[in-house]
Amino acid sequence: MKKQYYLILFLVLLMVPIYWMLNMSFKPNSEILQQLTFYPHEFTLKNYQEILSSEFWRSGYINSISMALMNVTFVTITALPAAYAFSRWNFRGDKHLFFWFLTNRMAPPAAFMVPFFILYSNFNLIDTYWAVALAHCLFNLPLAIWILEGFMSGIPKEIDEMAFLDGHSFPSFVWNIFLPLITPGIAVTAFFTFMFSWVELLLARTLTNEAAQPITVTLTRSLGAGGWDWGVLAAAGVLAMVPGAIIVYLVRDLLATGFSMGRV
Amino acid sequence: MKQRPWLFLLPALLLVSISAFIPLMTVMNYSQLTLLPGTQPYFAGLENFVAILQDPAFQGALGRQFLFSFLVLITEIPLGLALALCMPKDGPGVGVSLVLLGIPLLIPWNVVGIIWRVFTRSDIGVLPEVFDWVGVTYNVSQFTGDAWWTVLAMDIWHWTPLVVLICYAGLQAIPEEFYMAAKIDRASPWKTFRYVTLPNLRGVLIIAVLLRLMDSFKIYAEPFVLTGGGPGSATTFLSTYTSRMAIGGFQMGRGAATSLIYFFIVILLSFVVYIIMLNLGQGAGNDS
Amino acid sequence: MLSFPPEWMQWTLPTVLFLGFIAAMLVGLTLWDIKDPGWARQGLLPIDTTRGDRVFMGLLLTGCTFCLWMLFFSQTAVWGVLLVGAVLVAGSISFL
Repeated sequence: MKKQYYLILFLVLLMVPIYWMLNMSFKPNSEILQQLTFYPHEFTLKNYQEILSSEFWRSGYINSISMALMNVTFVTITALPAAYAFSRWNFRGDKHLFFWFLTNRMAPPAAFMVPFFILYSNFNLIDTYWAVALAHCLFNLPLAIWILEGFMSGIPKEIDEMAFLDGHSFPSFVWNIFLPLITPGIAVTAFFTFMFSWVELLLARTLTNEAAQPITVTLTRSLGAGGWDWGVLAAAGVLAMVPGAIIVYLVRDLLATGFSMGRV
Repeated sequence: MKQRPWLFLLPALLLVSISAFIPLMTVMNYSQLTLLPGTQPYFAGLENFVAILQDPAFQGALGRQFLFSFLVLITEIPLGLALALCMPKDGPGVGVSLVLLGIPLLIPWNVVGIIWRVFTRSDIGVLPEVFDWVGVTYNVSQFTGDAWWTVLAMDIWHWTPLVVLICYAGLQAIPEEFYMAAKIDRASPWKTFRYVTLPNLRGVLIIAVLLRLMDSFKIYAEPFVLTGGGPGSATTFLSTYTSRMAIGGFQMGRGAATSLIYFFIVILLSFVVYIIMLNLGQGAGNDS
Repeated sequence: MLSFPPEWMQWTLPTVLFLGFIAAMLVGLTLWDIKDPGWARQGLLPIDTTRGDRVFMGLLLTGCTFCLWMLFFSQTAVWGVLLVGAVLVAGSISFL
């Protein structure tokens, strides 16, 4: 099994920069700046203490998670019926509509920054969770429809027909038969939408000020504020990775199937 | 009965209209106006488009963007596919590799930038030190070449795992019988790959290429944090340019025009690549 | 506070015309398709295209023409773009 060494080599390379940040987060600033050490000589938890005791950082994490969860909810609820329509019926212009949805996935956030800002200012939504959660639908909704449609197409239409012959009403069919069948699909969709919402910076930065500022923005602002406190920055970065790592661990079995059923 | 699909699509269409369509219409309007802070907007016709398209900074950013996306695609796709082929089929290794591969994907993009920044900074980073030992000078904030390949390496580091995951999922979906048949025919490993694996991976490869193309065209946060678009404008890509136009104290009409041109280029490119990939794949499928 | 169309959208005539044109085209294509359903076929390009695909390609080509025109001729004779665009769309529908 020689070829697996290449994989191991890649995985090691993958972890090196992460290790470097982890390493930095446990060092005092004096050690970071003075010498190059491959493990913390003066091990300290001060950096983490500083972050966890500050309201400023804590609220960043809470905001980030709430926004991403809100976004996942919006996207899943709207994408489910849409994906069902695309997978079950042929109607005029379905392919073109599908492509049009996908073009929104291609839309660069930088291009929509200004209109989003103006649109949400007019509804007084700036600096609330709503603004960011809705704005992230721009690229997450098409992705969700894409993935879900793939999963639904993998379920034969005959199952629907059988259920209706058995006397199920449409809601009862959806609740009792269809949803259980596509639970993995929903989980994968939720994973990917959460991921893309969690990591996005540009729109989140444009649409929030103090109150609803997510962690990504907190990090950039403190990065730009001068006074390079590298230790704290590294610790904050490490903490920003933790929710992601937990989620990856939870859905590791689903990851492999995520895109395999996408429609092309 | 006939309207039922549209009923199902209604929520999605409503959401898209708030999150995409209304902003897009607004951008269209603004792109034809001169919008300076504190003054009434006035109609400027196509002036903004002309100014942007003839701006050397825009042309530079566009050229760099094409080069960058091209390099990203030709390195990440083969690398990701090769690594997916190296993945074990079952056993405890699978779970570990999947989790490790998933981690870079869930790091916020600016944290990716920060990771690489602390990794490559000349005062605290380990990479310059390593290069020093070898006897090569390396400085991201001074040399164009260094900045370029560092940004590229960062993107490969960040996104190759996604390609691996997608390809791995595709590989898992290929029935074992196909390989058995190839074995019975005594096909060489290369032939097996060419005529069994590759045609069956067509779908997932198209997804991988399209996703990487779209996302590499949108790259913003990572180079912004790592190099700030510098040195000079060496790593200024389209998103960096657009956001600078849109909020950088310039007039907003320019920003809107840039956005439209940008969006158009992404759609055009994705469409072309999609069509080409779809037909290339079909050709390969017919061969087998 | 909420007026329709909202003031901040700053509607301009060209945008209205452009969107109206796209809408009219969609309606037109739908009606045409109801009356005479088009089949996917191969034209100049080695791929199967439906009528909608060909219109879309024509519009993309027009967009390219617009950008190149702005780049090389600035705003002189902008009408030329519309003319070339019309030819391109019509050509795409019939030949691509």
